[in-house]
Amino acid sequence: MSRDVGAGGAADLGAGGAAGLGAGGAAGRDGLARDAASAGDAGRAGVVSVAGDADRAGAVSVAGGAVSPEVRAGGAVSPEVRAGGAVSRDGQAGAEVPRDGGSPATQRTRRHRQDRAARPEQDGKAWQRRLVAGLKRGWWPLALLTLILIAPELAPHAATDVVGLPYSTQGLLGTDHLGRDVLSRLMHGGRPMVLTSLAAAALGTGAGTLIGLVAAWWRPFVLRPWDAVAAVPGILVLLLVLTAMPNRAGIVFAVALASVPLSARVVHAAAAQVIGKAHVEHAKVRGERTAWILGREVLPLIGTTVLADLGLRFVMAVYLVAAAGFLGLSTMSSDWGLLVVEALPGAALQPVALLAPVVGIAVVAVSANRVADRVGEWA
Amino acid sequence: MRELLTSLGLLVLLSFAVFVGVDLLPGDPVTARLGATASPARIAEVRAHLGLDRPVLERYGSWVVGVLQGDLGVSASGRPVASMLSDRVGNSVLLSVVTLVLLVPLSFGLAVWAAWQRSADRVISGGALLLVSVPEFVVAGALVLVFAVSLRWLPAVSLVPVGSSPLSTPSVLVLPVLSLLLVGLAYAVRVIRSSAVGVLASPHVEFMWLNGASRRDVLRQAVLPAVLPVAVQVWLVTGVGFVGGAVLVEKMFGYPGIGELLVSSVRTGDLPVVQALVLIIGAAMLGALVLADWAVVLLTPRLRVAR
Amino acid sequence: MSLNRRDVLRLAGVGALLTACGGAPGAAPVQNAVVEARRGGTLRAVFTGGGAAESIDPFAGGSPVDFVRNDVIYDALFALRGAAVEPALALSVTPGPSSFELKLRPDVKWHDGKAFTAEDVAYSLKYMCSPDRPYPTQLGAYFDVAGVRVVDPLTLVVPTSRPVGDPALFLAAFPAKIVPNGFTGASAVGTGPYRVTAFEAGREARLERFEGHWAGSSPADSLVLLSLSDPAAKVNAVSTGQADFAGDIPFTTAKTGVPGFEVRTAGASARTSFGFVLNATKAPFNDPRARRAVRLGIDRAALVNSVLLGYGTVGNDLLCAGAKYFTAREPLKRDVDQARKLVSEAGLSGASVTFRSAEWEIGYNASTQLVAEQLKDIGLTVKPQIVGPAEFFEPSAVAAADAVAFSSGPSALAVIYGRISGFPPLALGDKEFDTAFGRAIASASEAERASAWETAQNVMYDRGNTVVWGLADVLSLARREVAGVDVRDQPKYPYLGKAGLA
Repeated sequence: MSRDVGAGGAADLGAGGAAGLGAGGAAGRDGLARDAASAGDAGRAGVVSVAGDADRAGAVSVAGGAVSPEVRAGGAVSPEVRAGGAVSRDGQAGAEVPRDGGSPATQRTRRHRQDRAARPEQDGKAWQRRLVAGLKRGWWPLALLTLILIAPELAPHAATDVVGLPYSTQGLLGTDHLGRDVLSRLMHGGRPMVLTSLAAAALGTGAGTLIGLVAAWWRPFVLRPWDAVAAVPGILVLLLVLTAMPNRAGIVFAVALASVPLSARVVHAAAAQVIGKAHVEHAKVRGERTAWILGREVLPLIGTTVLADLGLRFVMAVYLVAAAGFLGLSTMSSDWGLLVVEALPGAALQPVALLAPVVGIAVVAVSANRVADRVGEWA
Repeated sequence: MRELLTSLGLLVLLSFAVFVGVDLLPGDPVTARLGATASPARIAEVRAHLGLDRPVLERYGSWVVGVLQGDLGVSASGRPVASMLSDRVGNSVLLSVVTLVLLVPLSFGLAVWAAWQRSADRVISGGALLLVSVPEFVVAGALVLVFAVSLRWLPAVSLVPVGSSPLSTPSVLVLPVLSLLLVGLAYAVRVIRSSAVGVLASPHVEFMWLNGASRRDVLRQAVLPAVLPVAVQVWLVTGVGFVGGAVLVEKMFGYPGIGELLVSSVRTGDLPVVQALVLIIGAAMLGALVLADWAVVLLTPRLRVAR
Repeated sequence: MSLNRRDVLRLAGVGALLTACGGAPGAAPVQNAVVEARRGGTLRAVFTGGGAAESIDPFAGGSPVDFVRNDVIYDALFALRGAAVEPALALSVTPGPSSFELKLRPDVKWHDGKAFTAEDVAYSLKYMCSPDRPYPTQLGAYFDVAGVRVVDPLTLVVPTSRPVGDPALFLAAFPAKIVPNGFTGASAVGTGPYRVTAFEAGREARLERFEGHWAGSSPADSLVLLSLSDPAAKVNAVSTGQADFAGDIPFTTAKTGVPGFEVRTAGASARTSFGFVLNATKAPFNDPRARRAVRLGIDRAALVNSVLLGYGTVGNDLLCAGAKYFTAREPLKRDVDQARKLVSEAGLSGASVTFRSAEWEIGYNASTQLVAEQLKDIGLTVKPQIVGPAEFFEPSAVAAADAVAFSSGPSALAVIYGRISGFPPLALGDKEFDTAFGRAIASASEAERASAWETAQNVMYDRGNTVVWGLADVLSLARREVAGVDVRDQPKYPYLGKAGLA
């Protein structure tokens, strides 16, 4: 008996506390406002999103809102599930979630939640302010991004120029298996890798957002067919798509396809809460068009969720692009995934050629993970 | 029950999409197999022989009928798919299960420890973030370099004698399991840890502390019940993810699982093999989702009652 | 940020390790010598496998380990030894105008103890030419296997569908392993020096010495053939003691060396030709000047140094180096000015051409990328079209490309030129070549065949569409004790029937 009470209580409160921290924060609280899906559905949602991520990448992402539906269900059906949900969503906040409940961040967020409930219309602006502040704090990922994007212009040689013998020590980082300058290839390889991953992440999150909004506005079952995609490991989606389209568009499409089910779940969960709110009902009564309501009233409120999701999809894209190179599916002339693959056979002859792109990938991924974490915290 | 039916429906949808999709791929199993210099007439002959000249819908239909009768068809290489898969599926499942058995206590222990103790947290969370950020083939490569090539403690490749399971030579399992484990651990620890952090930060736990509850009580009455549903979901889905997602690791160790088969059959457009693998992996994943749903219900008392 | 730094530090640790185990650069490869192996012991050899598609049916498997394995389970009627043809299951052949008569070796036993007869050969010929086989032999294009007549238990007559001057060479050079009458591929019964005790596709085959082999029994008691697909894994398997021998290892391994082990080379007479076949059926390479410009424009030495890491030598644009009838000629020297002139004469300055490649063999993509760089110097823009191996040979795509990456071992000229001529986008379409090729196949006179091949290769050297830039060494990694590995014709698939431990 006592265990039961303990569980219920802990879960309930845990959910509330944790909800304050993460992207989908609003969701947990507002769960009560709107009809919730069945508990089973909720559990499913959470799991599915974990699923796609299991094969790595998004890993962290699970979080997103995948879990938020549970939170929502929790509101209506059971606090226990909500606990699970809220907490797991928190995974997104990842390593940097403050451990003590009384931290200023938590309190700020809690207060903010009250504000938001009171003045939903201004919430969008508040969010923008916080974003600007966040960008100021997060100057380093931007600097990194800029560096990667302009690097090709500064590279001493073209990516394909043969400057010496293979595996020589010529140049700062030596030469690769064909005698090309490793430093130059590294500098040329960052941009395509980052841009491909960004495009894929944007496409995946964009499509996911659209589907998620439609599902939240209309019927949740539009999400169901995407479960079929979520049941296929990302690497298999990549294999199938890249065999058909062995080019950059193929990678973008494959990664986007693998992301859509996850993003759609996240967005659906977050949007479902917002749609039940007074200001949205108000807009409906005013006779605004659906697109207008979704774009102006709903989207701004779930902006951080979408942004955090974008960051996680980006990390997933970075891995899948690298994996494509490893499996010999990538046909790019130089990107970091390919550089790793090309350097593997000669790793003993020229370790730098392997380490440089690996460190590059790791730095980009760590940064993106951290940015996604931070975006989550600003909610 | 309804969930099972829905999952079945999704599986059919998936198999159809893959069947038609792979059929549209440019890679042709016959041209790939016959090589550079097969004459077009010869290619047409072999295609007709394998029945590849029939319309795609007709072939899908006969494939479904076959599967319902337990026949997975014949690969473009001429061998029955079932015999190609039999051992390999078992080996892949074994790899996942062993990894999972280690993953469950380790991820739970590390995650809760990290949530509990700030000094441990820095190391554990940092390590997890780093591992999550390095491609798994690099992790596996580093393990081979350290434990097989340099230290000579473990075999570098998973050579398993014919007719015996990898369990008969457990040493070959160590490095593949370790590679998968590190990758899975990084992910699971991150999710479970933040779940535990959330619980520990909750006013409820603060209240328990104020009431003089022991660490043990907090752990057992607050943390465990709240974290377990999340953890079970993560474990189940990660475990199934290993089966299909271990492609890179299996390739690096030459492990006789389905990973390699998956890559080669997709690349050569060997439809029956791809279909069978998608069916198995998809079914396993959807099954795990249903199981996870039930686990959540079972582990959360109030929900159990509500049902 | 602190994490990022930690990041870098840890990876640097791995790097230090990498460098440490790299050690001193490897010594030059050892020439593979056929030292007699002692009797007894087990030889474990690892080759590139074909995954689940491997087969103990000699006409159903297409990966290196399939060839090596089936080479010791089954025998052919004739066998190549370098450029020479040796009798194996057949003792002699008597060519006629529209058929040839085979005399078989007496007292040959199958692994199950049955006697080998002409009925087995008649069945095998039909079996190997049937389209039901995943990898049928191309002999069906020359022999009329349906009309094979068994004269007595050791004699049979095989009609030909077109004149074949040297049937023994054909039976040795084309895949033509002999299987027992009624063979289905379900179980492996051959006449070879080893019989199968256990096999699983993509993993390993365990073979045991067959004491009754007609050529004398093999030294090793048993042979374990392992399949791996990752080149680094093959090397690791030997260097960590899981195998004794690895076939066809990467050049980078030879460059670094593996302390305590021998990197062996199959030698200068058994190399792989690397190059491109230009599409002579359409512009721009239907113009002999354009073809010659490419041959003059590539930097062969640079390609050999980069793609082959120096393990090999420059090629002279003719395929089949090392085979019978191959004529040695001086490789063209790089002459950028001359090539540029030819390009502008052909009206191609600034033209763009597509070179199609896939990593069918290691080095295809790298050489394509390098050639693209080199041909910039002569005013040709090469667009490397790099695709997956599955679609590489898509007929319509090959026909649309201007050039295709290509390689061949020291195979018989009849095999390689036969293949190229039979595939329109790769064929040269030159009357003089076709006539000479026809004569070389059909003539029963050795001297005439030699002169016909000489003429055919003259045409190829003068205005041909094959660009062979390099001849690559075929390297293997072995424990010092491994002996008797015999490179008969294809260095990538050595004969292990006499191999064992010294």
